[in-house]
Amino acid sequence: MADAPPHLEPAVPDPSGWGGPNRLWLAVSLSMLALLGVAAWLVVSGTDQPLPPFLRAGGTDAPPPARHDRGSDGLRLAGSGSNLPMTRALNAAFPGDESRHPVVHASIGSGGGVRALLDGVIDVALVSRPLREGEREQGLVAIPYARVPIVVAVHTNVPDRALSAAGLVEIYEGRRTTWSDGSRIVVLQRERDDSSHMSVNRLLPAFEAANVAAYNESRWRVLYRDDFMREALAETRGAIGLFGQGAIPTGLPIAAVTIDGVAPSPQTVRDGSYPYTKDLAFVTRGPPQGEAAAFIDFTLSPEGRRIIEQEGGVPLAGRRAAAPDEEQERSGP
Amino acid sequence: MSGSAPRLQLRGYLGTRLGPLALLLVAVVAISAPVAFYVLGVRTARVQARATAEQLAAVVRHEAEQRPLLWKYDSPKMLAHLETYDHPQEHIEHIAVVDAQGQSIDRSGELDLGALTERPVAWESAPVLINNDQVATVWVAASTADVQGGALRMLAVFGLIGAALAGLMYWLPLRAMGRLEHEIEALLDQLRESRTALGALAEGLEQQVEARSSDLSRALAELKDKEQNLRELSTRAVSMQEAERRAIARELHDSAGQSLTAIRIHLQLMEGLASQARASEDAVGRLGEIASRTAAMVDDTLEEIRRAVNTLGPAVLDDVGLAEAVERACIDLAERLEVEVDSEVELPATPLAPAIETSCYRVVQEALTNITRHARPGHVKVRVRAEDGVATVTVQDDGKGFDPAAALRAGRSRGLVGMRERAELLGGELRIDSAPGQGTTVTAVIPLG
Repeated sequence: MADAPPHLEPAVPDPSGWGGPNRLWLAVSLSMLALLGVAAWLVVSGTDQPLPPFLRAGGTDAPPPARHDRGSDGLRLAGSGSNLPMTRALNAAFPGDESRHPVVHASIGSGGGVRALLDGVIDVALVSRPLREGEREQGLVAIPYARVPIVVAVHTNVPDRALSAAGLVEIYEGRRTTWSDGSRIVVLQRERDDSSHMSVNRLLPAFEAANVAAYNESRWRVLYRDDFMREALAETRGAIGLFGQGAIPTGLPIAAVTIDGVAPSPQTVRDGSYPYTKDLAFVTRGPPQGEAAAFIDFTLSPEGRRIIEQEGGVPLAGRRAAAPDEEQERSGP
Repeated sequence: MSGSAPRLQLRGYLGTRLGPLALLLVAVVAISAPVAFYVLGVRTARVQARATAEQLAAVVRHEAEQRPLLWKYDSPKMLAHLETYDHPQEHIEHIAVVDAQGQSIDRSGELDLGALTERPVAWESAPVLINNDQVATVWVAASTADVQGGALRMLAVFGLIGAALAGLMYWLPLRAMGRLEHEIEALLDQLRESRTALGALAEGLEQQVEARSSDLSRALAELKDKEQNLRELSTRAVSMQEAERRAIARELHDSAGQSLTAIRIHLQLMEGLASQARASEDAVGRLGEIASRTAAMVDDTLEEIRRAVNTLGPAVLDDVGLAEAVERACIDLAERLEVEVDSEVELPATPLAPAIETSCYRVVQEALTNITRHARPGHVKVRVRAEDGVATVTVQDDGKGFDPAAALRAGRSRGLVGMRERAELLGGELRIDSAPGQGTTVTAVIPLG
């Protein structure tokens, strides 16, 4: 076969004459470029978005909020819901023309009260937690006026009226799920940084850990106002929750339980046997003046202290800081 | 198989074409699905963020309507609560409410703007409208980190899938092409072997053809020899036949004819004597009458003998030869028809074979007979020539002519057929050129050898 004449060799197709792959490479390259372009366009167009003012370059053009110059259109108080019942009782007993009584707004929380005070929207903030360092640095002054027990409250259908601290932790940890009669325990939580929870946390680190775990697991219902907690306790059978407004309001199916055999009351708070308490305070921009000083002085007066005790709190003997003009009067001849 | 034989390169060709396509397939598969996942995921996150913003805007609007002075101080707590507990949506990265002055109502200072801008989020907003006045805007940032992570994971997975598909797309056709190429190579090898065998077969066939051609040539030569022999045999047979005919004719002419002529003369003498003797008129008259009838019978017999002699063989050829016989026939025709007849006879010194002479003369005789009967010519030309190995007889007239083919088909020309048979019997041929009104030329070519 090797010696076969050339004409006997069949014509073998030669693909090298069918055109090179350059055109194909060009088409593939163009296709890939087009694909990448479309993909980039889709990705970029999906991420092109307006940003909120505080994220834009240079931030907002608006000036910082101007402090309100409210003039003399009456005293306004707002803040923590824990302060409201007692403050409203004090306001109701405040002597003088009722038309000149302070206006006590609904709950906006301790933090909201402080911000509203800083903005000049209100004159006195109602705070149920200690002032933070940053708040003090802005010239805010706190005048504590009452200490209230943090009540562990249950719906009245709950058969148990006494718990130990460890038992309370077990309930919030979810390890104990039924009351003594076998009914289901419904735990009601306040939001993070709630003053009542923070106060208990300081004394019961295990309680704080249980709450943090519950927050992270969304284990319990969370309520962010005292009045919401009050209503939820009243309407939820088997419910348990912290109540930070002092005395349990009458006329609602809510009952307080003892902790380690101690009932929350002004007496147990005063003698220190009931450790779960929080202090209520007025906060002003600098030492209180004018109507604010008058209202606070009334609160710290014997009449005010009586009303505080009547509302389930323990009046605090703290003296408010004197306003500059008062200091001048005191140092006078 | 020869190592230098050209090999198929189809697999390599296919590989160079499939390579770019496989690469494109990897890119398309690896990019398309992750990009689509990312775009749809981001779009979904934006839709969810917008829906959340609109829900929260409704809540904030309700709060602002109820508490126009202090809503913005309670809303952060409410929003934090909604964000964390009432609507625990993991993909919601941040919720912010910006008042009409562009300030966030949550000024707790806990917001890490740097971290927020670095995280992949999709911002959507919804206005808070009270009496058509926009008092605030709710901004919701939905995290797209999961989408990004998912897209990157899909990129890796689909990259692998695309690579696997591209590998299959590249490998399967190549494997099939490899097998096909192998089959084609085998077929080409078979084709080479077949062509080689075909070449050998062609060579053998050529040799066979040459051998057969040689055999055929030999057979043809033999056939020609046999034909020549046959022609010679036929010529000899014709010559012998003609000679026999001439002998019979001569015998009839010389013996029976002479005797009958003498008898006729005697009968004429008897008839004359009978007419002179009147004595016994009756017997003598009767004798004369018998002699007269006998003389008539002898005349008839002589005529028949003459005709038979003429038929068996033209005795004139023996008497005067072909040239003179043709001349006499021409003269006879000229006298009989009173037309001009030209004759030209060129013969070699040695006499022709009797059969050829007889055939030439018969052709001339039959042609002149036809002219006498049908042509009515004004001029007739007769030419007999023997040269170059053939005897050629040409009889040409300018008479009325005829259609030879039609005459042959109609069977009306027995004389023409006889001339042709006579020429062909000696290996020659007869050609008749004629047309109505165009005269007639009869040409007979008879080989001499």
